[in-house]
Amino acid sequence: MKKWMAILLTVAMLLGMTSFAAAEVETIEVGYLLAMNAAEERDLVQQAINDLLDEKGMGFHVNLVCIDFASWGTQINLMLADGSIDLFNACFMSSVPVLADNGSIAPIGDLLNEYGKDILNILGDYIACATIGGEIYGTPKIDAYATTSLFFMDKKMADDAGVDPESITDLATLTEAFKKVKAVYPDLTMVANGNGGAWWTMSGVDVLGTEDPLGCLMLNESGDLKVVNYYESEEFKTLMEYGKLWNELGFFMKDPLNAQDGAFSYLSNGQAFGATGAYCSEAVGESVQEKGNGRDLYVAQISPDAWATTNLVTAMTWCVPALSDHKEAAVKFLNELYVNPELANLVCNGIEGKHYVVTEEGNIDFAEGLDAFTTGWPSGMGTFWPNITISRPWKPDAADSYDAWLAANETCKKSPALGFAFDAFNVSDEISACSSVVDQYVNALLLAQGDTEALYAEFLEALRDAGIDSIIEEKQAQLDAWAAI
Amino acid sequence: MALAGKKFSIFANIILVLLCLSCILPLLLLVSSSVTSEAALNRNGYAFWPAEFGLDAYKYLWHSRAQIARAYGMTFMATLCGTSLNVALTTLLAYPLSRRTLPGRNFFSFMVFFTLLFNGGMIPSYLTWTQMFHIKDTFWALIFPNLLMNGFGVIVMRTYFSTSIPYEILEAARIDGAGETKTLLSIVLPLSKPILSTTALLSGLAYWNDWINGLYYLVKRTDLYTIQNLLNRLIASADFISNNAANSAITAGITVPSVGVRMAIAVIALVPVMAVYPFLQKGFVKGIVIGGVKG
Amino acid sequence: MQNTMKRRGELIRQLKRHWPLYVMMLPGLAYLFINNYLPLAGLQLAFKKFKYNLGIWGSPWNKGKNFTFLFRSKDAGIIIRNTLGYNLTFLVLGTVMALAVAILLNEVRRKKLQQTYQTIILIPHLISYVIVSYIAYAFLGGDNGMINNSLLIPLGFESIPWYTKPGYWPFILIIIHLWKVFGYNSIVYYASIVGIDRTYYEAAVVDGASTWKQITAITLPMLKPVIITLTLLSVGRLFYSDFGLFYQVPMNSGLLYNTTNTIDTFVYRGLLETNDIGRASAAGFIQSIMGFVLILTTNAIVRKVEAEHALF
Repeated sequence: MKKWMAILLTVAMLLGMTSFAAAEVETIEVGYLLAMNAAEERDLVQQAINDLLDEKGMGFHVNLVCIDFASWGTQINLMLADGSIDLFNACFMSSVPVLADNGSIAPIGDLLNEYGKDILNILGDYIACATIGGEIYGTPKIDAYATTSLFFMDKKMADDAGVDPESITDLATLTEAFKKVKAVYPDLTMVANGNGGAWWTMSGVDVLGTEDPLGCLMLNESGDLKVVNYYESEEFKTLMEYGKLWNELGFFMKDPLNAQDGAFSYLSNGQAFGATGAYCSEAVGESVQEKGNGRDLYVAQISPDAWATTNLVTAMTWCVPALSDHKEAAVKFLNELYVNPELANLVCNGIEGKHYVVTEEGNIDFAEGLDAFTTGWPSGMGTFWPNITISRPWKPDAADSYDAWLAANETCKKSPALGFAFDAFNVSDEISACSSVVDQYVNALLLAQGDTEALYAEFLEALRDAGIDSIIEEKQAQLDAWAAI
Repeated sequence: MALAGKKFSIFANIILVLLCLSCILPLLLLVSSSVTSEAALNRNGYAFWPAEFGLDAYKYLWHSRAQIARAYGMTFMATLCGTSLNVALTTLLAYPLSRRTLPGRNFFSFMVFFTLLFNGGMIPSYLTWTQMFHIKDTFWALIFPNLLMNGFGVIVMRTYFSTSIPYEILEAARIDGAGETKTLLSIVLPLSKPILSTTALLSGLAYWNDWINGLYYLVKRTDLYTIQNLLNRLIASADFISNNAANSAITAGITVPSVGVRMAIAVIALVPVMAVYPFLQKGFVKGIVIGGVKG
Repeated sequence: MQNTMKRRGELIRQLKRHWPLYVMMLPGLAYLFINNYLPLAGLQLAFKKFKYNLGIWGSPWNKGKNFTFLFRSKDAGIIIRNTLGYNLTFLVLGTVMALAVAILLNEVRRKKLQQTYQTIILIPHLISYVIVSYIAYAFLGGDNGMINNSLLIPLGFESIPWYTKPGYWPFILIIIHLWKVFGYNSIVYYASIVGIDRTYYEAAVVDGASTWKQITAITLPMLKPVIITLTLLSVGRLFYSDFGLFYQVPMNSGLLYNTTNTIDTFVYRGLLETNDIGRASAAGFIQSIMGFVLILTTNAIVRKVEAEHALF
């Protein structure tokens, strides 16, 4: 038996050794997150990409490493430790400042100046958001960055109850609308919530680099750089009041704290009248959600303005791992992804004629006989790639529908702290402790489960014990220093 | 094999039937909710008999039938391969450790035991197996890391050897001139059927339930995924779709019955193993008897 | 001098006699070396700020900063209490139940039935905690749950919002844990009972011993080494908790943290955002060290009382 073992190990070792000899052309490994399909036709798309790269004489090839959602965070993390990936989108993992701090991603400012000028051009000032300590650590993907809070509602139900979406502008008017709908559909949930109970989608708050608003700027209230405790703000108190009222009126779901699905899944299967979401504008939100849910929807904006913040801009940022041996090629490829429509269409939509066809209106649809399940290349993951706006939109969106995204970036309000990246190092213990406290209380408070008043006092106390004041102080100090430059 | 009275035997049966019921009823609930329509599940809650049949969950999984079949194959092979190696390695280490006269026995026992308490963590293990042994994206990734042998099994088997195999028998064998290998094969193993099949069972369950190795070491070769990896992927996809329908056009109006899918997936992971388990159990015991006789 | 020579001679004789045994151990020890000892280099990460670009050995030391987050929050007391409390309860009740089931299994005379029982009681072990959490929710859900809908309300009681009342959860978690592991845990005990020499029982029957007497006078004493071994092994894990049980089954409900928060769930929640390997290692390190100390102590006690049953 021991011989076996020794032989097995040696064979395994040899196999591993020899397997890397072959590659002649420099090949970069690019991570791609799969949400639904297994990308069975990855090889075809990859070949098409490499042909395109050869045509342009780029001098390298790419290998698409398709990773499913269940494994994404873990596998990317492991590959960052041994440098077996060269380019990836840092989504569903730690934030860019954290990745920069732990040395897993490389500063790429110099490479961008040489090989990524187009990216710098397109991103303009927004590149500052991925700049940490004077170094650029990644490139945010092109998106409509700003968000405002919206309420999405089922069109038919709203019509049945005589609700005019135009009349809804805040939580008070929304409550009136709920009452009307409830009268017609007494058993229906008015506002669905997602995982763990979150029914409110925050906007107009600059969280300054932490996931939870532990010390933030209230953008709708004032335009200055004063860091405050969100959970003591009027806005949070108002939300709690409405939570209490809505709970009494039966507007929430059954067992809201135990919800396991996203809020919109309850909307799409007809179990709820509506849900909140955050997009740059009513129109964009409506088009995305109608496509996602297969229902006709009305949308009402329930927060004053759409705001862009550093966190929103960097939510999906493309990065080059520090241990990559192919940083140059990676940045070259990244640059192509931002500006080459042919390449963008390939990665976002697959191969024309094979996976999609262009319709008369200029948008695209599944190729004959395919649907979201049977296609060999994921159809709806274009937003993962650096620049979906130069690819063709899917039906029923108009061919020029991405223009609205780009326009929104020009017109949206920008947080005065846009471009500020928070270094959490000094208060990381406090942040851990506070996130844990937030987890414990916030959803129960917003859904008015239990004795809210006592719970709220307990919550603020626990936050203070966990050190929220040190976080606020630290953020304020760093922010002031940043503003002074 | 206590020679108990009949009354006690009846009592034992009653208690065991009750315990078995406690294991089966949740399983029934699982099956029933996997064939209940999502709407009924949300409206009426869970029940042992579906209020409204719906096969949406299985329809969703049907799209992946080819992968599911292949993943079952992988699980089966990994379990078989891994378990055989595990039993062999564990026995070979546990037997010498059970011998009280072996110089250095305590030191080696401590070495084994130490591994149960301390571990280096995910990244160091990953680097060891991928950089020194290059098992990434190979079938061996499912076999080697962590599961091939563990200290717990060794210690349990050692305890069995030292308590259930009388020292006199070993002495007698030695006096008869039998070498250590012969003693192990022809005297110890035949007397150790219970612990061998137990070790095999523990290891088999570990391989069957494992998804960590696939998660860490199979990145490009997802065709090597075991059933647990594949089912995790399907669950995550269903979750992703239901949580992120908001973000993209992925679903184009397709709704995924996520609770139902999870239940259906659990059923798919469970039922086949329940079906083959008794045969495996029988076959394994037989295999050991034959092995023992031959040796 | 002569003495040492003699001892060395004895040692060489012993080694000569036992060499095949050392050879047998080689593959297993080699595996442990590769799989368990090589990665132990990672232990130093508990004291370092892990930098991916510098690797495990190259990362800078950070003066114990990784440990402070564990004690930063005032929950430290609660999570230690919960972790230890649950584990001790699991240890005692789990052992008793596993032993009882193993003994009962052994009393079933029909081989077919025995096999069926053995198969069925393993079902819970094969169900992942995610699914267990759904099953638990099916029973305990506030509005949809079967206990409320089919039991409490028809009997005229008020329905209970289980997921908001921390007081019930110690019982719920203990029941679920026992349910999930009793079959699995009884396997080892059962194997040992089957291994007991039949002649002991035959002699006991001749002496007119009752079934109960046989269990207390033969089965349990014969199982003592196994019980001691398994208990010692669990003692080493008193500071670890099953993440699935404490995180997924209570559905991460914030209102239940008082009775469901353990070291592992606390670390998970605290590091979710930063994925800080150094601090995760630090937490693991403390858990290992505490387990190590506990087990050395217990082992020393066992060694005092009954040397042959000690682990090492």
